[in-house]
Order: sequence, then structure tokens, then C-alpha cells
Amino acid sequence: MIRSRILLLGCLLIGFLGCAKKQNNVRVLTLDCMESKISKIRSILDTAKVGTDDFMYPQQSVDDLQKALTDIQTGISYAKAGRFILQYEVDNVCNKADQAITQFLGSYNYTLAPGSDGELLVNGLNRKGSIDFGDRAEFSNSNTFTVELWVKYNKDFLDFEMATLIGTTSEGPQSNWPDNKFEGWNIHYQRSGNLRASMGVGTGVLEQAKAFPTNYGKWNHVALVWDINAKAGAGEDRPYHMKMYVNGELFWQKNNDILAGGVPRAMLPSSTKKMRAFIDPYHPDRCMTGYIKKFRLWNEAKTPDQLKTLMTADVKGNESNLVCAWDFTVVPTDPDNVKDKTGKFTAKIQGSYKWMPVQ
Amino acid sequence: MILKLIRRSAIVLSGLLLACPLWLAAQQAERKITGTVQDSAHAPLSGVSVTIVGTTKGTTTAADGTFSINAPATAQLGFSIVGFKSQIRAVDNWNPNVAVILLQDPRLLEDVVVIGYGAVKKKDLTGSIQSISGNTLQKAMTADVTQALNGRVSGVNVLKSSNRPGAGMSVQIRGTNSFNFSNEPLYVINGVPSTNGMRYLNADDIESIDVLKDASSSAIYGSRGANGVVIITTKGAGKKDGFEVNYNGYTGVKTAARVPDMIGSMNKGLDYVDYRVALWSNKYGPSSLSRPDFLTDKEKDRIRYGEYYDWAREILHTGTINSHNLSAAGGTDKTSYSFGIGYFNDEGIIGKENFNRLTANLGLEQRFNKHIKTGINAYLSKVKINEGSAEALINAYFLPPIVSPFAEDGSLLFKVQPTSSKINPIIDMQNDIRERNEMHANAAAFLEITPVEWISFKTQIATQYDSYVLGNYKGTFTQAKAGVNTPEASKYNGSDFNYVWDNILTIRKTLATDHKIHFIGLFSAQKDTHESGGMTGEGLPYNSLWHAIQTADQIRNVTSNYWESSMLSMMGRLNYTFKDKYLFTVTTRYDGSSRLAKGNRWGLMPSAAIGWQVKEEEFLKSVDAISDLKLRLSYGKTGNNNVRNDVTMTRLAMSKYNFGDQGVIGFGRGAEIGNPDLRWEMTSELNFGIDFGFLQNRIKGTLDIYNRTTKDLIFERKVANINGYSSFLENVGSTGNKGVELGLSTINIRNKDFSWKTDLTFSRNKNRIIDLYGDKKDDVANRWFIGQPMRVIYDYKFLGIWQESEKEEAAKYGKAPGHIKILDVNNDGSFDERDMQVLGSPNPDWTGGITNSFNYRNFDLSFFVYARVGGLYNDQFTYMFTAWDNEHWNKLNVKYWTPENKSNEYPGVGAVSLHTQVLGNIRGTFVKLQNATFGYTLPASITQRWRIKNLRVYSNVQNILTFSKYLGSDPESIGEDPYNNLSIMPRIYTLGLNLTL
Repeated sequence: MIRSRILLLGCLLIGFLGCAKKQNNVRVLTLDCMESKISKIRSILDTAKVGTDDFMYPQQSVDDLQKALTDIQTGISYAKAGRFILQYEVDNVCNKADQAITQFLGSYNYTLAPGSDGELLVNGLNRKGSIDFGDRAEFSNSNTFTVELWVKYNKDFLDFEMATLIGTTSEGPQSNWPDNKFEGWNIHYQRSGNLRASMGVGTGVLEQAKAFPTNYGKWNHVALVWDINAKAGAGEDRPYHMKMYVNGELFWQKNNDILAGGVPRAMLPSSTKKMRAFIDPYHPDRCMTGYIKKFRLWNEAKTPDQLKTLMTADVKGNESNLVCAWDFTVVPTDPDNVKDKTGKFTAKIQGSYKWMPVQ
Repeated sequence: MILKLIRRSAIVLSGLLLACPLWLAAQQAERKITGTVQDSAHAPLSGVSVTIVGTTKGTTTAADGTFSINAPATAQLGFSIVGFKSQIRAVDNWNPNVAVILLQDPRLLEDVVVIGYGAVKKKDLTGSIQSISGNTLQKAMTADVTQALNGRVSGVNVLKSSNRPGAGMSVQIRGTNSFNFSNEPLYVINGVPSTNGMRYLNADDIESIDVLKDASSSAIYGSRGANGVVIITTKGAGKKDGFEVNYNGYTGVKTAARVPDMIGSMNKGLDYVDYRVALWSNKYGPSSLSRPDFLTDKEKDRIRYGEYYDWAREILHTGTINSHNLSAAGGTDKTSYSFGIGYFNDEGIIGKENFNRLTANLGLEQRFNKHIKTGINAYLSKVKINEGSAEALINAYFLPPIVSPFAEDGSLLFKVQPTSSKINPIIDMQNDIRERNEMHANAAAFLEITPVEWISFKTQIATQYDSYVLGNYKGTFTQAKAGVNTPEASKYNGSDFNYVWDNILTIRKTLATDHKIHFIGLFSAQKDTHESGGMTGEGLPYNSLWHAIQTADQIRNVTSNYWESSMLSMMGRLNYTFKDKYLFTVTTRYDGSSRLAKGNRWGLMPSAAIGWQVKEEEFLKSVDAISDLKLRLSYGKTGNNNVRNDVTMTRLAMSKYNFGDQGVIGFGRGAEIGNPDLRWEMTSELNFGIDFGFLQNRIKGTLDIYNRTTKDLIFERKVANINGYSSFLENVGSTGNKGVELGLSTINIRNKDFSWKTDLTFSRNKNRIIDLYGDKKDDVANRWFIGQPMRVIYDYKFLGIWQESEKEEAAKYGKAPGHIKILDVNNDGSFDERDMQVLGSPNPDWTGGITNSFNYRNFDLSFFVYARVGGLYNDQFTYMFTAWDNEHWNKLNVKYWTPENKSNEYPGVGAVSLHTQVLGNIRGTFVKLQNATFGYTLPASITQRWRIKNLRVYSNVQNILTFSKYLGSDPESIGEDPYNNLSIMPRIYTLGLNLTL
């Protein structure tokens, strides 16, 4: 009797431990989001006008959304069959469905004729669209320069840890390439909510950040000024070598405290000289969706007053110290060859983008 | 009647005549005497010398106080031991059941302390010197005797670089003084000054270690005494009569005592998956979870089937530890001798880590007559250290539990994670081999002449030879070579040979009863030579370790070095005692060293000390509660010649010259110009001490307070390169150390069967910079600040984590909830170096050790607790594994911030916070139950049947408990280099045996 009780207790214990172990590897999944996405996509597909006219949806977009619907249905099957074991797998399917819906809703036909005034929307998310300004030494070979441009974005304009607005910064030292240097400059947004700039100074990166404007759908003028010879201003105890202005106002400023031999390190000219917008030249995951209007690069440190003037002024291309300037305000004839105002450089608008009417 | 009387008388006489020889024979015959020796509290006294008076025959008492000796019935037995009054007892009427009680003589504190070039009775000591006996060192059971000083000698701080077997240790005595040169004390091993530490010494071979702490004591070593002096005396030939053989040994196993808690360890792999989901979602956005590299198919399969790997534990194994020492000693009136051999092997618990040591020692002393004696001491040690793989353990921490070391066919994978650069540590351990082979030889020979009783002259020649070979082989399948690059090997070897010729005149004389003089005069000559060289070969065709570097594709880093230096010294030390109450010591050493330029080579280092035996005063003699009271005051100057040999000279450097189109390699002036005006870094120190004893010395101790200042620190001064050089050395700057030390021993309980003793040490030192460049200004670039310790943590002040409720405020600084919050010191809305401040120093506020020893009959139990309290350390391990958010690696399992889980200690997972380096600044407080020993000594009644003098068996456990907030393995080795010597603290279980024949 006692022996049988002990055996029973042992079996219960083993059973309990076995269950406990199994429990550790199993999570209960919630499939609600997949069900709701199916309803939503079905509703969109049922009401969407398909065709080639303006404001109609192209057949390709419908096919893409249909495929997304199939993927969700497959996902539900997987989940119910136990092939999904963690909630994130379900959430992945739902996220993809959301992206497919957003992409579908933005894919309506709209065409502006070349030469028309327009606003350039670059769908940079998921590396889909970007502007390639070429690989040139001039973009990153001065230690006194100003970058200024107009930018507009909506909520959820980035979904990676950071997203490059425009920049030349190269890859820094890597485990396999320890001799690599941080080179060039970069203006980028962070998921944490910051607008940041970084300057590659060889052994490190000088960077500064502050919360970016959340006036979604509105234009902002962003300017980055770098001056290795900067002097301390009145009332300041140190020079600020890197400054950022937003809409003509000082946004932040940073003293270059990365020293070499007791003096601030200069920005290293980028040896590879790539300049891109809406995607990082070396980290393609760092991409964003947004509008760009006017972009200029100067080989001089503009003063706050000069920047305020530039915000409302046009450039001709022959201004002293102007390296390059593009006005993305008119639909180009050839998006692969968009000449800058100096006539020296050519940009290529690539991937997914759309010219929208001026608002 | 008369006839009857005559007959009776004849019978009695006959009987007497017959009995007399029998009685005489009985008187001459030896009988076995057994007994016990105890102190006044009936606690057994071990090690008491029991001799037959008038003969050389004798024995010693065992741990339980028992002894056994064969002695003639008419003999007298003498009982003696240091600290107790000797006693003579007749064998006649011997009652083995009545113990011999030796009375302690509280005023007869005859403990001898080695002071360098001689020894003094502890009661006559005026300086701050602490001794630790060989017996205590043995009981500590540390592989490196250096570690045994921690918590057992006040004022000494031993810093472990790692827990890997044979890992280096550094010693600081009363803090640090020098910025650019060594702060290690001078080691004097059997009279030979050395800077090679004590790792190669076997604790079993050490008679005692005496630590000279104050300048008055260490001034006897003049220009080398500024960092304190550690005098090691190995067991040489004594005056032991008869012959004795000792075996001390133990064997044991090592397991991990404290494994850092990584996310998902201990089969909680889903915790890691949750972390990974959070990391990727927060850092790269929810859409990143559908990227193929988020989780590979194989990783998903493992999650599905609950197949998780606890990598840190996967690479651990149970190691063994063995120590065996055999020694013999004996002698006659004329000759004494001793010899011993030792074997020690300490297996690590990771990979091939290992520490192996073989030692041999020999001592011989011949006393020709009472005027002349001579002798030799020799010590040999061979050490082999396998340091193990550099990066295996850190890789094990990096690798997450969802990664497997095995391929589908069961073989070991090299690249275990296609999405990460980290390779399989199990393979790395096999292919990353780092060995260190050392040979140490110490030999000394002396001749001592004592023409009259109070004068002796001793001349001694001693040599020390230390050599090492470092071999490092990194195969293709290591982290460093990534499975792609060809193997690399390097070999570096070096040797140091020192010889010292000491001539010592000693005068001990008592004049008119009250005046005692003890003078030591020294003339010493020393020469040191050093040779080293090595090379690295890259692209080896096969695994030949470092034995065929010439086969490499490329040979680089070829070096070869030689230097020599010499020193002449004259020293005089006078101890004068008046009426055994007033003690005066004056020491002067005059050193000349070739390391400095002419004109600055000679330095005079004087010191003086006074002592007052208050207990000897009439007003205190009758106070029974106070057994001993002595006040000491000393002041002295010492130097630090532990500088490079070429500091005064300008070195030539390889340089390239262009002749037309051709470049030619030649020599040019190096970047640093020599300075012939350099002088010693000089340290002066004031020390006040009290030696006290209460209640028949059941409570006794020593308290020291000191103030040390080091001036003329040698600094490198940067200059504009237009002069053709960029820096030069000069004597500027000053540092200081102030502190208090306490050593306390108490006998808490002492009775016939049971005793409880406690030894306690406490040390507190405050280090500070007094001046740097003569202008009282800080050197922010080097993190040197006037008034602050020499090493500080200079960083942003960590305030916690930005919370959701502080979102608006955080945004002003470019921060978001979950980010690290630091102090904006100048309140200017941004963070730069102006917001940094001195946060603390990697020096403990205080350290302490406490040993409790219990004896119950034949059982003994002791345990040692060590505490290091305070101090702020920068720990790369903590920083890397709490701050880094690599998408494929693992982290420490701590409370990371989430909107719901409002941790104020660690940032949000994937929050991409700035200023994460502040997470590496951690407090170093810990308390360790470091050592516990339980032993049993067999009763003499049993052992003597086996002709054994003493037999004790014991078990010991080390690193039993650690109380600390440190997230790494061992707070005692906080700050380990994560890429070279990261280690796991072992727990060691041993069984041992002490046997004396």
C-alpha cells in the first residue's frame, strides 16, 4: 500500500515536472489582430476602384493586397497548426498586413506632368525609395560647411532605430576592419524622437541630438553648420564647432571635445564620398519616408542671419562657396538625371517616390 | 636471638645487595612518558618543545597538547614555547593524567619580528611591521600566497586581476604613491630584493612573511622602500635536534561559485526570446521582427522544442586541485639541515586553464664553534601557467541560449550564429593557447663570525634568477582569426639575474643593566641584469605552437632587450633601549644607483622612531587588566627607484631618412628626451602606533595611524614637437596617503576542552594628489585632480532612468523615457565634459578580515571572512552586458526599464540611450566567507602507537558565500579585462592531511 502510494506520488511528481517543462515552451497566442486585418483588407478590396485613371488603384496594388490577405490566412492556419509558437510571429503577420494596407492606400494613381510644380514624396521606408546624389569628393571634403534643406514628414515616417535624412558618413571601425575610420557627416532622425547630426572624426563620431519637431505634415528648414575653426562667442567659454538650426533658430550646438594632441579633431573627408537622402549611404536599414524641397551644401559656415535669409531665398548656382544645390520643386523630365543648380552634379530619384501637388 | 637477628640482617642485606643493581638498572632504564601540556586555561598547547634536560633528545606536543617520550626515570623534562614561562618537571612520580600547565608571560612578548638584515623582539619594535606565519599561510590555502595577505595583514590591499589559475596579483601597501612607475612593494626573499612577486613560492616552504609598512621600517631598504617591503623567509636550517619528516597535502575539486545571470540561462530560454522581441521591436521597429535574421529557422526550431543552451555553464567543468609537500629537517649541535619538495597543480574550470608549480628547497647550517658558522639556503621553483583562451568566456556570455554549439550531425560548429561574429567558445578554447613557463632560483650563502658574544659579522652572497617564456598560439579557429585567417604565434622570453653581497655588522650589548644597544651596519652591493626578446609569426603552416615561428609567412614585433643596473648601499641602524621602557631607533641608508645620472645617483634616506613601554612604568605595573601598552612614533624617508633604467638618457629610435629617391633606415632621437637631472621619487611618512594587551593578553592588538607624502614624482611633460621631441620626464608633483590600521586578536573562550580565538584586521586609507605640475592645477585630460585620489572615476552622474512622467523634460535633452538620465551640472540644457565630475575612486573606503578559530578537544574549526567596503569601479563586464544592445547577443538578466516596469537602474531594452558608460561605474562593496576549515587531530595515544608524532586530517572550502551587488562573477576581481582574462570565481572543496614523523 505504502509502496503504491510512493509510486503514485513519484508519477505525479514526474508528471508535474514534465508539464512544467512543457509549459515553459508554450505560450498562448492571440489571433484577434489577424482576424481584424482580414476584415479590413476585404473591406478595402471590396470598395477600391481599380483602373489606370487618377485616384484609381492599379491592378498591381490590388494583387499585392490580395497576396497580403492570403498571407494572413496562411498565418492563421500556421498558428492553429502550432507552427507559430510565439506571439511575435502573429504580430509580424499583422504588421505586414498594416504595411500592405498603407502601401495600397498610397498607391492610387496620380501623375504630374514634367515641368509641373510639385512636392517630392520619397517612400524611403523599407529601402523602397531614395535620392542618390552621386559619389563625389566635393560633398565631404571641407571642415567648414553648411548643409541646409527643407523637409516634411508624417507620423511613422521611420521604423528603424534611426533614419538618415541626408548624409555622407561612412562605416566606422568594424571587427573585421578595425582600421576603418569614421568619416563624413550625417543628419538623421531617431526612433527615440530625436533629430541628430554626427560628424566622423576618425576614431569616433561627434554627435548631438534633440527632440525633433512633431509638426507632422509641415515643412521644416533644417541646417547643419560645421566649423572646425569656430571661436567662442560672446559669453561663451568655448567654441561650438557643430550647430544645428531648425527654421532659422538654434536647435542645438556642440563643442568638439574629441581631441587629438590637445586640439579638436577635424572631420575626416569621406574617402568613399557617397551622398544619399532618405537612406543611409552605408546602412540601408536607416531609411525614412518624407518630402524634400530645397537642398544646398555650402563650403562655409553660415551665420544665423544668413540662414534666415536663405530660408526664403533662392540660389542661382554661382554663389561663392556653394558646392551644390537642388530645388525639388518642379517635376523633372528625367528623374535619373536631375541637374543641380551649379551644373556640376546630377541626382537620381530612385525607387518608390511620387510627385504630389503643391499644398 | 642474636643469631636470629644476624640471620635476618643477612637476608635483608642480601636482598638489598640483590635489589640494588636491579634498582640501579631500573633507574637507568628508560620509561615511556606520556602527557599533556596546557595553558593556564587548560587549553592544549601544541608545538611545545619537550626535551630531556641535559641531552639533545626531545619532541614537540601535538595539536591536542599531547606528547610521548622515552626518558630515564631520573631524568627531568623541560617544557618551553615562545610566550610562556619554561618549566622543568621530574620524570619521577610522573602522573600522565596531570597536565603540565605553562603560564603565559604577558611581559615576555618574545615574538621575533624580521626587520631586514636582522630581527628584533616584538616588544622592542618601534616601527609598523606585521608578521604572518607560515602556518597561517598554509591554512589560507591560496595558490598564490600573495592573496593570503588580504584581510590578514592590515594596510595591505591585494588586487586580483582574475580568478584564472596563476593570474597575476598586485599589492598595495598603504595606498599608491607613484603615477608612472610601479607601486608594488619590494619583495626580499631570503635577503635578495626582487620585484617578481610571490606567485612562485610554496606556502609550505615559508617560515614567515613580514610586511614593513611605515617609512621608519622600510627605510632600511632606502631607495626601494617607498612602497613598503615584504620580507619572505623560507624554512631554512634551524637548530632542530633529531630528525623530523613532514607531509602536508590536500586534494580537491573546483566548481563555479558564482555564474553571472544571463537572460534565459538555467533553461529559461523563452525569457531570452521575449527580450529579443522587445529589443528588435524597440530598436528597429516591429517590422524588423519579420526579417530573416531576427530568428533563424533553426533557432525557431529550438524554441519550439525547448532546446536551450546555458553557454556560460556549457563551457565550465569541474577542476581538480592538488598540493603535496614533503619536507625533512634535523640536525645536531654542529649541523642543521632541511630540505623539501612541493607539487601544486590547480586546474581551472574553463578549458585548459591550469597552474602548476614544482618547488624544492634546501637549507644547511654548520656551526664550527661558538664563533663561526656558515650556511646556505637554496630555493627552486618551476611554474607553468596555462592562461586559457582569451575570449571563450566572454563569447559564452554573448551567445544567447537559442544558439547551439552542435551541427545537425552532432559535431561542434565553429560559427554557431550566422548572424553574429561570435564563434563557438568550445572550439576557441582548443585553439587559443597561452602559456607561461617560469623558472625561479634563489640561493644564498653566508659566513658569520662572532668574535665576542656581543659582536657578529656576517657576509652573505645571494642570487636570484627569474626566467620566463610566454607562448601564445592563435589557431585559425579562434575568435581572433575568425576561422579564416592563418594561425599566429608569438614567443617572448626574458630573464633577470640579481646578485647581492651584504656585509652586516651586528652589535648587541647591554651596558650597566639599563642600556641596551642593538646596532646593525651594512655595506651592500647589488647588480641586476635583464635580458628579453621575442617575436610574432603570422601565417603558420601547421600547429607548431610557438616552437617554429620561423615557418611563418610574416615575422613581426621582433624585440630584443638588455639592461643592467647596479647599486651600492651603506646603512646603519641603531636601536637603543633604556630601562626596557624607552626605545629609540635611528636608521640611515645611503644608496647610489646607476639608474640616475651622475650628481643625482646618491641619496640619503634617514628615519627615526621612538617607543615608550608604558606598561613598564611603575604606575601601570600593578594594573593587572593591562598586560601590555606601548606607544610608537616614527618618521622616515624612503625612495622609489622602481623607474626605468634609461629615464635619464635619450633613446635612439628607428627612423627613416631619404636620400634622393631612396629611403634608408637609420636611427634618430626618440620622441622622449632624457633628463639627467631626475631624482628619486621620495616618500616621507609619519606613523603613530599603539601596541596593547589586556586581560593577560587575551585581548591584544596594534593600532597605527600614518600620514605619507611622496614628492618629486616623475612625470612626463608634453612639449611642442618643434624641438625634435614631444615629451620629457621631470620631478614634479606630489601625492599623499593617510590612514588607520587595526590588528586585534582575542581569546574569547578558553577552557580545558574548548577554545575560541578571533583575529581581526581593519584598514582604511585615503589617497590624494597634492600637486601635479607645481601649479596646483588639475590635469583633466589624464583625470588627475588636486585633492582627489590618483585614480578616479570622472564621468557623468547617473541619476536613473527617464520615466514616462518626465517625457517633456527628457525631450529637452534629446532623451526619451527609458533613456539614461544624467546630471546637467551647469544646467545649460546639454551634456558635455563640463557636466562630468569626480564620482569616486576605485579604492575601498575600508577593508577588513576576521578569522575565528574554534578548538574542541581534538577538533578544530576556523573560518575567514573578508570585506572590502566602498570604492567606485569602472567595470567593463557590467557595462558591456547591461548597456550593449546588440541584436544577436545576450545581456545580463537585470530589471530593464519598460513603461510598466519603471526600473530606475537600467535603461529600456533597445532604447538606444546615450551615456550608457555610466552603467559601468559600480560600487565594489562585498563581504566574502572566503575560507572554512574543519580538522581533526588524532590523539597522541593512537598516533604514537604508529610512531607518528602528529596526524591531522581536515577539509576546507573556499569562496563559500559572497554578499555583493556585483553582477559579474567575483567582486574581488572587479574590472577584469573582458577580452583577455575574464573568469569565474571557483568554489574549492579539499581534503587534506598533516603528518609529522
